[in-house]
Amino acid sequence: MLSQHYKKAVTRCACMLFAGTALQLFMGAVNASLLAYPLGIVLAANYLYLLILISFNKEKWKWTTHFTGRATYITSLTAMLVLTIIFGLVRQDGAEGAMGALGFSQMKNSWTFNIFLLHFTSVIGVKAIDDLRNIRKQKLHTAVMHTAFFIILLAGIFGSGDKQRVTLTTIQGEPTNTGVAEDGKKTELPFIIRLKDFSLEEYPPHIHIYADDNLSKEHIIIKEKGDSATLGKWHIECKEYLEMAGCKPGDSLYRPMNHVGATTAIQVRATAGNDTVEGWISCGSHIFPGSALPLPDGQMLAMPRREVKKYLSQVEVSTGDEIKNFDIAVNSPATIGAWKIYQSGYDNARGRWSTTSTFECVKDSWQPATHTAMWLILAAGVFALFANRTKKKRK
Amino acid sequence: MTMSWDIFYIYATAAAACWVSGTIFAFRNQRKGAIATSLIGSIIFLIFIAGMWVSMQRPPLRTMGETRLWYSFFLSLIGLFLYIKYRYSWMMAFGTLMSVVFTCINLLKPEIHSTTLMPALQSPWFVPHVIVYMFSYAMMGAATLFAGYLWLRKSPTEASDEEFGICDNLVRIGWAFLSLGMTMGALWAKEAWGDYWTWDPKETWALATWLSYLLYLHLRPANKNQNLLFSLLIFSFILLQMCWWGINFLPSAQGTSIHTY
Repeated sequence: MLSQHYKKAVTRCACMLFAGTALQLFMGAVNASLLAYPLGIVLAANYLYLLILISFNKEKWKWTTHFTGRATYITSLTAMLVLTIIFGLVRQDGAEGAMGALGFSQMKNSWTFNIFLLHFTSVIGVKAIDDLRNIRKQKLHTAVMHTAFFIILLAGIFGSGDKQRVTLTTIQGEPTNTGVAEDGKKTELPFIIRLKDFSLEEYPPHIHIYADDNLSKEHIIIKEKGDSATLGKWHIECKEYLEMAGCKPGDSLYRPMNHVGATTAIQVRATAGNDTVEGWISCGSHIFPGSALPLPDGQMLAMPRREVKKYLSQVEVSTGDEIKNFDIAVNSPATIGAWKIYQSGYDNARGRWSTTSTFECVKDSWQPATHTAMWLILAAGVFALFANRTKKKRK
Repeated sequence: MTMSWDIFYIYATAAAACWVSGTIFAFRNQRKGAIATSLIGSIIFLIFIAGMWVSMQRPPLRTMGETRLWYSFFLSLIGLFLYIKYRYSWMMAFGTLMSVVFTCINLLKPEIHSTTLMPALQSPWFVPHVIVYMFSYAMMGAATLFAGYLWLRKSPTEASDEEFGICDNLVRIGWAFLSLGMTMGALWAKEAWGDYWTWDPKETWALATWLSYLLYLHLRPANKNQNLLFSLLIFSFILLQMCWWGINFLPSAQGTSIHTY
């Protein structure tokens, strides 16, 4: 049987579900941009003050039981779990229909999800403040965990309106400071980016068997002249390896070529029993078409586009006051004030000959708080491994 | 000799033989023999993993087959650790059984063809993020098996405090590792794309898994209802499977997740 506390907690969840559904049906999705500076930070400060008041007055104010007690956090946690599972089960494409009307096809912007998330955040917030007020050594990691998750949720909710993401495509040598924001509007950035050079490193070519419009999963890797390996029933030997090659239109012979558009080409000899085939294979480029080697059994040896290992943009960023040079690569962004510049893409058709580079410029004013909280979780997670373990009772 | 998947069966057979022998020793109360033999099995397995790391010139953590290598390895170690700590032979048997099952899956359905590492995966976070997650999955696998054993065994008695304590410790350690893995993933995502969290299907199911185990940890202090708790642990492990590989088949995640391998 459910205790009185649990009955109240479940009723509260039902009310929140009803309120969320009603708001979703009458107002549509939640608009995060309403929380843009200064409203977001003002609301966050007042919200934090309210949670502190709740923590200090929970004995006096009966209504604060909505945010405290075992039944409250168990039901809040369960509700978040159920909603997260629905989040995972429903495709998040904003589709209409019953799921769309309830906001479940765009869950992160749905009223129901955000009301439950705010309540969950409040419960953790009050618990974190309680923990910090009554901190004891053996509960340090719990207090840190609660506090860190509260900071992350607080920054995630009230900072959601402040985040800016601008996509900017640069052409080599041409300075630009105008990109496209997430809503599709042209946006001017507070700095100018000039792409000085773009370079792209590729993995060695893979040779696959092409049959029935499909490339085989099995493949061999050719790194240099003389390499040999077995693919299916074919023994393949590399007779010539050209990292930079080209061929005349209609010709099947590749020659070394040090020029824009040069592609990788290898001459192979494939042997299976009495069958021997020799010829060129190339992945092609935006200038030269690819080339496959037909085999007697109707299959072909083919080289797909070489996989990208690393790409890097050398840029010059000017803020008006100063000019800075950066090498920007995936996982290695540049920082300019509150902005970070991420390597996002390049001209895929031209591959290593690309003369353009695409960047995502992100401004996240709440990042220092979130980042600190993340590292606190890492520290608390490590501490939790060693602390508060259930003691083994020896028989 | 360069290490490759072609010779995996040699290492897999040798390791499995050691793990099974170790388990037999454990049931015969030959403790030292059990520990030594099982440990040798894990070392043989680790040699294969290290060899693959060297020969592929990247950590073997990308494909499903590669993650299953780590899962088998960690399960064997966790089974051994639990045997050393609690002296239960069947815990080592659980570890051995699961390690051998996942090794056999790798032999029968390798999923090992990819040899490259895309730029986004070339991060200092890659290795700790995946290893921590695999270790956590192995801990939760052990917790689930243990909970299933306690729940379904023929003995009429309820789970004792000590048995609940073992289960709690497995989940607590597993959950701490889940938290570490999820946070490392968020820090990595921020460095790669500028967002800590994007509600990618993999992330959503990772959160559901994390919340479900968190619910168990919060229910436990005031609860000994084993029907509720053990069913929650098994349900949590189903969520974990959905996060690990289930989303590859889930219609709602098709074409939307960047975590596909």
